[in-house]
Amino acid sequence: MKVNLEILSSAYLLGEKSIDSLRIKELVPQMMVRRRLTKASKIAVELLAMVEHFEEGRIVCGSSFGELEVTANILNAIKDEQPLSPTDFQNSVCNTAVSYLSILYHNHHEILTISSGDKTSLNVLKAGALKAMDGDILLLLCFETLDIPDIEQVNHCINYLESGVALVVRVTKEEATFCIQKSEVKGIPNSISEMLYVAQQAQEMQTPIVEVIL
Amino acid sequence: MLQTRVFVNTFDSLCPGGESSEELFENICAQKSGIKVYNHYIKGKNIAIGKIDKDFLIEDILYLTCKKVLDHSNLENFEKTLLVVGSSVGGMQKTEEIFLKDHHYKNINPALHHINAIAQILDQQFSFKDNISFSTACTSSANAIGYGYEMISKGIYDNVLVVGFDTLSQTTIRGFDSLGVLSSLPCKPFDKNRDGMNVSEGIAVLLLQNVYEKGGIEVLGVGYSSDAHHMAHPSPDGKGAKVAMQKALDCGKIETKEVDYINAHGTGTMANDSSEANAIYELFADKPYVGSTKSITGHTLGVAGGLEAIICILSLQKQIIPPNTHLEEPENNALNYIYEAKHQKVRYTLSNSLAFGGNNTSLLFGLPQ
Repeated sequence: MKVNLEILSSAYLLGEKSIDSLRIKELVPQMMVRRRLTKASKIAVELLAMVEHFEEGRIVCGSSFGELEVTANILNAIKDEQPLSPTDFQNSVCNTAVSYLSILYHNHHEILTISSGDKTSLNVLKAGALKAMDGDILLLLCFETLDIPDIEQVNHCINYLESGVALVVRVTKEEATFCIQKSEVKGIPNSISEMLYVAQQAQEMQTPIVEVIL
Repeated sequence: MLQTRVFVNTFDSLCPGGESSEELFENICAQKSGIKVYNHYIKGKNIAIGKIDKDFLIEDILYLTCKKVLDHSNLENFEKTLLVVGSSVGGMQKTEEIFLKDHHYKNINPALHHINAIAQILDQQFSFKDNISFSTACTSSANAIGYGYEMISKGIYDNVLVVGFDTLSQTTIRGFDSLGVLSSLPCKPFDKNRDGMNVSEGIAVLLLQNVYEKGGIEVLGVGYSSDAHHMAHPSPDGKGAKVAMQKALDCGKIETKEVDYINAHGTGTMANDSSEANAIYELFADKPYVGSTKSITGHTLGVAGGLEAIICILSLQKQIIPPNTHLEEPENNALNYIYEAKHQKVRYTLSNSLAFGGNNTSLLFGLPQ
């Protein structure tokens, strides 16, 4: 089945190291809350501030590697026989970033987190299309936060260690104006590739409508 | 939109509570727990955990359980089937083993670290048309079932195989210990004197189809919500869980008074059980039977939704309400807890899954009409 999604708004962030242009103090003025946010949560907050037409609603999010920094903190604590940080543990689940979005913006709607390796952002688009068939406006997100000490031991191909993409979408019966492809930007994680392509295309078009094949 | 009906025709599971779904349900009804006390996971501390007795390779357990489901199905293979995986930790156990031996990341295969490792292994073994993996902590496989339900009810797939899978890892055991929620004894969900949960492991596999096979049980609805309250604590009033249950009932067009049994998330922690009990009390004036089966299975994390869906399905197939175990003094006396297995007419059952981040999912099952 083909589902056409109108891209109402889009945003993306790419950083070769940690993205340092985030307006997190301005966007989350409560210090106690801000201190608990993971890198991915901060990217999600920034992306939400960058897109339009989404106040609250359902969110589908994707990440291949999830909360890598806190996962590494936990592994190192176990290795060093140190006590684990409860904050690190509760922040280690894949749905951490979008859960903080729901908490910060009192969004009580459905939230799903997908982790499908290199196919993650493609599957976020597919899941978003399936959900959008109900007629509401959804926020689709994907991110990777790989800027942790010693990442070069396993990372040999990703140049942009931090990245995130946001799309605000709804189903339309209008003709599609483009199809999903992988982004041509070199050195991005494969797991954000299709959504980055969609965001970049959308920003160049007057009526961006992407065809999603389920 | 015209909806296609969705049936669970074949399923199986393996967890500390039973080597098959049939054995698990027998053990639940006989109140025979699979939880044991260990003293080597955390120095100087006894903790009760659900560990599968036999040593196993992840590849073998995935293959054998899915093969059993395929053999009992009307399918020859899974080539036109969508695979939907739900897992909280994915390949974490292997990553831990390598890192704690080497003290560096060099020998870790990133592709086998993440959640998608399970789908990759299964796709090599069976060849699915497509696959997708959900990781929403303890609601992972409940959300996978919800997604499979939507894929079939909207007419996109005829067959969806849902696999919930999680293994014990030091991350989860020590992590829950850091939150102070691990019990040293088999857990006592909903009891006034409960003192925590039992981390566990397992696999649950369910084949969802758009055709009814003899003995099949219908998936009637799914409801989702977010607490928007706290990362690790549910909202005390249970509002999020209540909304998820109400949405599942609305989706299935079933009234609260028609529900016979609720398999609660019921972890045995102070915060979860009081919040969930409030949610059930607020929604169900007619007092359906309420139970948690985690005192038998332990908390299998991302598998729990799939495993407890199977328990709800078996309750409908066998017309038996499964009991709580170790519940002696309920904290909330307003709920209708079940203390012994009871044969009775069972038409509708509800399975709750609640997770970190305030992620709530409720699944509604019923006898096909």
